[in-house]
Amino acid sequence: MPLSTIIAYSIIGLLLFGFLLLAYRDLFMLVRRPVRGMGTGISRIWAVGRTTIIESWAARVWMLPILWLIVSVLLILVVRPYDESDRFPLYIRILLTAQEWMMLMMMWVLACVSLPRERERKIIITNASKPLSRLEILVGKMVGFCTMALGLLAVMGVASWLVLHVCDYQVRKDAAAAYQLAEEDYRAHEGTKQALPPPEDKRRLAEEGSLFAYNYITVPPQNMSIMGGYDKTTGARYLKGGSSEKATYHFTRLSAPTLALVTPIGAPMHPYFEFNFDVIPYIQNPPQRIQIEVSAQRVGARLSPTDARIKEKTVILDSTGHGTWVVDHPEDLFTAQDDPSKEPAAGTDLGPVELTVSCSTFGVFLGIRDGTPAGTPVNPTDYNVMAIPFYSANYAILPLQHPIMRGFERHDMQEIAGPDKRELREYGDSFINGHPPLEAAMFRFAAKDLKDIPVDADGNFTLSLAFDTDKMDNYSVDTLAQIDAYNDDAKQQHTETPAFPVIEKRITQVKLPASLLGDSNPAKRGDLVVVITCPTQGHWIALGESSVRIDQPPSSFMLNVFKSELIIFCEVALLIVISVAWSVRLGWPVAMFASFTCLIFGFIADFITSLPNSGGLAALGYTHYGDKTGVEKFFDSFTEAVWYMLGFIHSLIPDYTRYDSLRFISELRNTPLSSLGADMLWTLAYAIPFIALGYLLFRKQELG
Amino acid sequence: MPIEAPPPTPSPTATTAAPTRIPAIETRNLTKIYPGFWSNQRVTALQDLNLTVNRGEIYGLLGPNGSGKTTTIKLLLGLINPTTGVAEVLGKSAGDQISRRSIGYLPEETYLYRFLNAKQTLDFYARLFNMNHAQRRRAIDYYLDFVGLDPAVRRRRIGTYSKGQARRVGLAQALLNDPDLVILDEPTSGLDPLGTLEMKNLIKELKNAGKTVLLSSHNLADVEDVCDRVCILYRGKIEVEGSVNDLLDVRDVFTVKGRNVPLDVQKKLVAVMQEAGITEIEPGVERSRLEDLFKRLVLEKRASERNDGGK
Repeated sequence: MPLSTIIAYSIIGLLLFGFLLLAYRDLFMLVRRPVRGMGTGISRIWAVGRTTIIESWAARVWMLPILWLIVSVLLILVVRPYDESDRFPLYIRILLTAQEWMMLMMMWVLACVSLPRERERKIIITNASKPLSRLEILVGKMVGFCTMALGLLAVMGVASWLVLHVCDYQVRKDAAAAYQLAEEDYRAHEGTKQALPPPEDKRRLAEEGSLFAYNYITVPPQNMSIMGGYDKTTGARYLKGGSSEKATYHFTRLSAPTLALVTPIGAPMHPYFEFNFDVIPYIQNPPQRIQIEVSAQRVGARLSPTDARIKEKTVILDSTGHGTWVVDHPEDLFTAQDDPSKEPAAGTDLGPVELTVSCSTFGVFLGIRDGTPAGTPVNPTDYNVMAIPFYSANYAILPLQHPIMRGFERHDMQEIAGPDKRELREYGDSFINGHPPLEAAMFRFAAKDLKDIPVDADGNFTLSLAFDTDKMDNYSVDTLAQIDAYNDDAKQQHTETPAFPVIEKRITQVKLPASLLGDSNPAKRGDLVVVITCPTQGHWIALGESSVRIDQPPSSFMLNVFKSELIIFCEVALLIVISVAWSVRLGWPVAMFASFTCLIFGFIADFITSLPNSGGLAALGYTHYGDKTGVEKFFDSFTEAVWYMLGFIHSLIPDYTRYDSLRFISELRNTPLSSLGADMLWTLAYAIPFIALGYLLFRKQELG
Repeated sequence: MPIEAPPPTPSPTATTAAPTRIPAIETRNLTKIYPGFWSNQRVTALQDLNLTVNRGEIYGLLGPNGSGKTTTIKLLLGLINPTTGVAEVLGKSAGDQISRRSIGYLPEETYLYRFLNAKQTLDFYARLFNMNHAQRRRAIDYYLDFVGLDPAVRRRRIGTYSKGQARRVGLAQALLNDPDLVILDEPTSGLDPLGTLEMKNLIKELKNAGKTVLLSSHNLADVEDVCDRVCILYRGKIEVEGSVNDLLDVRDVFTVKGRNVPLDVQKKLVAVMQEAGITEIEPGVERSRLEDLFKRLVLEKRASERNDGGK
């Protein structure tokens, strides 16, 4: 943890301690009745809150939902989605983003202005002469604005749901009409070349609509692979030479004991990379040397562009698949690394390293090794690549298991192609252990996620597939997909489904036996591996990490809308608390500035924390050549101090980037209660110190 | 103001009322210095104020502008903090949240929410005194009648009220909790002479009901009419304190009043006094005050309107 964060947390701790020490009497008054006939502080807080609600209403806050609705409906009418399947996610984004920002701005202004105006008009004198503590005034204001915000969001939530339902009704009606037309056309031309089957996706769209709150388990991004070949017998993956596929190997940070082993003299380790690939040629005159393109880069949220620069090299492997890469300036990738549990010192370990390999030599498959299975002694030969420290040639730094493989990418989706007619004709159809070289997508569901999966009466669970298809010029046939699935704890027991038609942009459900979910004992349970292929010649299937899902019962879409509204509410409530806390002492323009600064700092949290990593002037894009002049040194140090100061301020204020009301609903997924609960707890965790700050500022303030 | 009906007792205050032997207000060496940004900008608003207001009396705080009257009241309410010294109100330290439920305060000007109407305003303050719905409704209607606010304007926003109307709502909020101690800062400010008369009658009624009243005013005639004791502040210090009668009696001046005294009798009286060697003799007829004339005219007009049945 950096020093600035420790100082920031200490300040927050002191603030809370001071609050408890000085406000204990007022805190007790919130819940107890000190004398007969005197209510609790809660009732007085509500009285203040109620008046605050009337104040907001008098400020014509009711116009906000009307304005929002007009703006949103206009945008919905004007904006057209790039892809039809993006229509409702786009509408949801418009509706929620508009209300989020309108609410933030409206409540920010009201909350900053209310108390200063009461001070200016001296209304607070009358109020403070009543049995009302300063804490009750402060919290009452916050409660009033938060209640108002909650009410408005509830209204806008209902309106959002209605708007989406009206749009959905219209879309379904249009889809039904289009399907009917296509069906009539098909019947009219049945038996002729012009006969195109009516689009199944339209029928499904008309029947099901588009408003869902799915619950499903997906794979994390690193557990999806696109590969040029796949051995059904062993589960091995292959990278196809001459394709756009690539394999990414992830080297983690080293622990302190390991570090002591690999850099015994404490110097930078200066590693080189050694490659070992299994080469499977599939043409008659296979190449003797194989060319791979490798690139290595540090990764991590805290990296500046300078530290994360990419190192690239073309490496030639011999016919056995062996090669090395001695990196120029390897210290850029691996320097002396600290204990991962501590914050790395500047210029040492700036994060883990990723190494990506692609092969440009046509006619070979490179076997991708998954690494040593868990529970067995680590064997370097189970890995394709290892980093050898210069001073410890006997020691190999190994990447994580199951390297990520990615294929051709377009619009955030990757694609797998059906069999290539020309290749099949020229090279036969059994390249890899007798299996045809079909591109495949592999999804690895982590064993820990394979619990509480609903199983039907037939002993099957449901796998849902959300694919896009590209039929190229072969429109007359359906795009087929095929599944081969197994569990790591029983690799030989594959379940292969017959080929089934993919319905464009709709969910296709497939039943698979529950035995694939692995051993009932979680300790013995293996990962579920699902491999998707497209057996239709000339067709492509586009998919992403969330395209293959293990289904759970869906939730109510309306409830999901309100969950997103609650996330917006948390965001607005925190801004209200901050604004009211600042406004107890400051005039409204300064209070608005202070709270807006908190909001902006909260939204650019990542940027602010990254500034010190880039150095002083370098963060402003200033590049110097040769030795720095005195002026450059001065401004470099000065700006660096400013970045650290900004980082320190940022540590004191909440990170607003964590509020993402669109994260799940825009993918038509149900927002998990755990995510919502975490947002609420986060809001509370930051609201309490700001209430404490407001109280301490307000406690002895002279009124009048 | 109609003050015949007894005020409702919206919330029991007896439990918090201190024993009667304890003064309603007591300050000891109370000093307030407003610090400026620079040391030469410091202002001593109040210096070593020792004040005792007994229960059930009407006490007047007098003094020119800047003498420390409002500062004293704000200190007693805990709105500002003393620099040194102690202030106790109803037996508890000034500003105590529990004792504030037995205090009613009318500020020098009406400081109320402009977006609320009269009923909403009183409802808000009644809620702070933990009144239930029925108590609130009864108290609000009673006190709005009590201060004579026209029913037609009670649901209009206070922002649209005249100064006098707003003042009446301000007074209603000060009395809403049936307080033991009523602090009135310039109570007649903004009121017409008739309103001033009603206010003075009200203050006397409060005294009759056993309440303690602390009032500050520029209008010396008002103070003279209603106060039992007064003090005159000057630059934050008490210059004079005592009962109104003691302070105002001029014992070396003799006055005789009579109606329809013939001119010759008047001349004889003057002659007798001159013969007795009395100096500074000022014979003359009594002049009515303009205020009295105004009140008499308006009251007569209202009485005749009532007799005519409002025609």
